[in-house]
Amino acid sequence: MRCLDRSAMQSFVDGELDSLSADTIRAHLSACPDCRDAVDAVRRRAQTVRRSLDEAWPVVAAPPLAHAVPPDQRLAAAGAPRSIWRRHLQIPIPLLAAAGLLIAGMGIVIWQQRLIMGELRATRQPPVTTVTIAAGDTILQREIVLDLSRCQPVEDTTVYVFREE
Amino acid sequence: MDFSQTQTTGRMAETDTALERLYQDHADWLLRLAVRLTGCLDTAEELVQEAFLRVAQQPDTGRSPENPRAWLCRVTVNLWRDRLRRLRWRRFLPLACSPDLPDGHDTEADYLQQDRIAKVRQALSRLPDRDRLLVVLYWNEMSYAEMARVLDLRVTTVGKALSRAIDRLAALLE
Repeated sequence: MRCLDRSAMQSFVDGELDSLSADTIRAHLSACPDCRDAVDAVRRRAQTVRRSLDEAWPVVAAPPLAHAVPPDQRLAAAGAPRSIWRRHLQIPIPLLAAAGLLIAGMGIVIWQQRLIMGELRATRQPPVTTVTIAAGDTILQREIVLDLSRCQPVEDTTVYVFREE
Repeated sequence: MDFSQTQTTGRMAETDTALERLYQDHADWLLRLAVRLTGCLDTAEELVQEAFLRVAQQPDTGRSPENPRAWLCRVTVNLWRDRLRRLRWRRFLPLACSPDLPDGHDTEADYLQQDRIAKVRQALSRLPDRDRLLVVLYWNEMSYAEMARVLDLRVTTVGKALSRAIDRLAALLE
């Protein structure tokens, strides 16, 4: 058997291995002084950590249930299920704020673009194409106004008809 | 009182009894875990209270979950994570514990003890959240299977993660 890694040592010390694996490790430890020392060190370290932590926190006792969870609160809680938003939407508020800012920013940019386009359209005269058709004594003159944004004639074209004197 | 009212009252009494039994069996253990996790008795009591309120909210409190201890622990841990997230995002507070150290500064031994206690608490609070959680669960004598359930890990991964967390804490304590 190969020497133990740190994780296997921890699991062995904590008694978390199945009996077959534990027996295999015990057999290895009896033949490998390095692993034996390492496992002892792991056991000592775990004990030291536990002892230090035990010392740092006093033993606490929970208050009686009637004080911790009063009956009226139990009823209120049972009668008021959590809102669907709180249950399903666990998005951090700053993330929501950032998304809101992004959407607002995009809205402002689009709005400004539309303003600029509108101004351009207002300042530029739409091109007028004049078509003249002569048929016998009648001249049909037609003015077509182009819509710049669509690049197609607008529907309300102006038609002038002249008769020769 | 009609039949449905009798049935509802009966169910509420059953729920209350189940809640009392759960509280009696696990409240002290859960509070100890919460104190160690948060470093503050008041916060820990709030978390435990909220966890048991969640139990009371469950429609099937009468039927005990398969492993109530792991389930309560998972609820408490999730509440703690929510609280951490709120604190960090909203106030950008460091996670230093505000431990209730015992009074008494009479002798040098008291000073030394207080110093040691403060050092241990500080070391635990300086661990990354997951390591701290692992150490606290381990210290609260949970099995690897229970830890895996609380942390959404595979049981085989727990040993590796736990050994790393213990080594980090031991290094901070040296």
